[in-house]
Amino acid sequence: MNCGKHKDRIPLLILGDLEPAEREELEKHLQDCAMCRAELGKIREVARMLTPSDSEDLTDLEKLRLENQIYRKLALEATRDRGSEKRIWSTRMFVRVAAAVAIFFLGYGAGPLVTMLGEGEQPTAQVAEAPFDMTKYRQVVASGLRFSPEGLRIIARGRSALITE
Amino acid sequence: MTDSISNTIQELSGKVFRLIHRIVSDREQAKDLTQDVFVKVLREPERVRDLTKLKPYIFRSAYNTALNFKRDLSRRQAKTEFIKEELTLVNPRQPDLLLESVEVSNHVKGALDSLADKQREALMLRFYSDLVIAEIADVMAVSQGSVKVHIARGLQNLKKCLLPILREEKS
Repeated sequence: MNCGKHKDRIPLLILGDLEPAEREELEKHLQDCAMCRAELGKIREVARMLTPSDSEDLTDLEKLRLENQIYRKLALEATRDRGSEKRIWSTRMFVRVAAAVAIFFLGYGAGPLVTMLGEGEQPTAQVAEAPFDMTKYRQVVASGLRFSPEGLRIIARGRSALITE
Repeated sequence: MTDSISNTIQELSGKVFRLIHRIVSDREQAKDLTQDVFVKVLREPERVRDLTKLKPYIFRSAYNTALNFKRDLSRRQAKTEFIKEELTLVNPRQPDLLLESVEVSNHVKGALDSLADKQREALMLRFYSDLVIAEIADVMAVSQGSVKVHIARGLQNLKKCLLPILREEKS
């Protein structure tokens, strides 16, 4: 039995990369050929050994942190490209003022508001979890990035300034 | 454009990490290199302008970055240190399984290293980055037929290298 052509196709059969006609022809051959069936078993085992386990993947949190680091580095790169120390200082000042306003709001403004929201609400728990709200954080990060028509140019303003800090 | 860039990062970050991680064998280092790849590619306006070429370029850059890192590292470190890093990644409550999986993993790495460059690259992009034949062809700048040949020959050669382990597992 001439197995040469069929043996070359066995790896592609395992990976699902054969054309339907080729697959049909090979499957027919495999029914009659014990040697090629043994080859199929060995190649399948090799493919299994190559397949990465789930533990090698990033967790959701790791992935989010990695993505945010990318945005952060891109924002820093863009700020550096402009060579404007003044701009960096202005964004830092903005962050400080924003932080002061936020602290004031949390201290004096949030209390009555929480009371108005009703019973059973746990605002402190929400605040504690806020930095790990992936969707929200991703939206905030993405919304701070702008790209000019000539290509990528990130403008550090508003929310993105928070990320560059 | 912003959305496309964000989507690209979200879609590819995990796959790029897995490819780099498999090559450098160090989780934290792989995260750093993944960041470097995206920053390097996305800060180049000519790359971002044509989004269709962005994906293959990111994987090409990731593969080269990881290989260069590994080459530099192996000049500085003895091979045993790689094994130590592997040991920390596996569940320490299962020492037998741990040693076995480290051994198998080292055999697979050694076998992959012995392959021709194109075969190794095609297999890594297929298995670790989940790319399909057409995408691998874009990354490697070859035809889809060539990719199929590289993958088929690569798996056949790996089988020859790993035959002793395959036999052991069966017995």
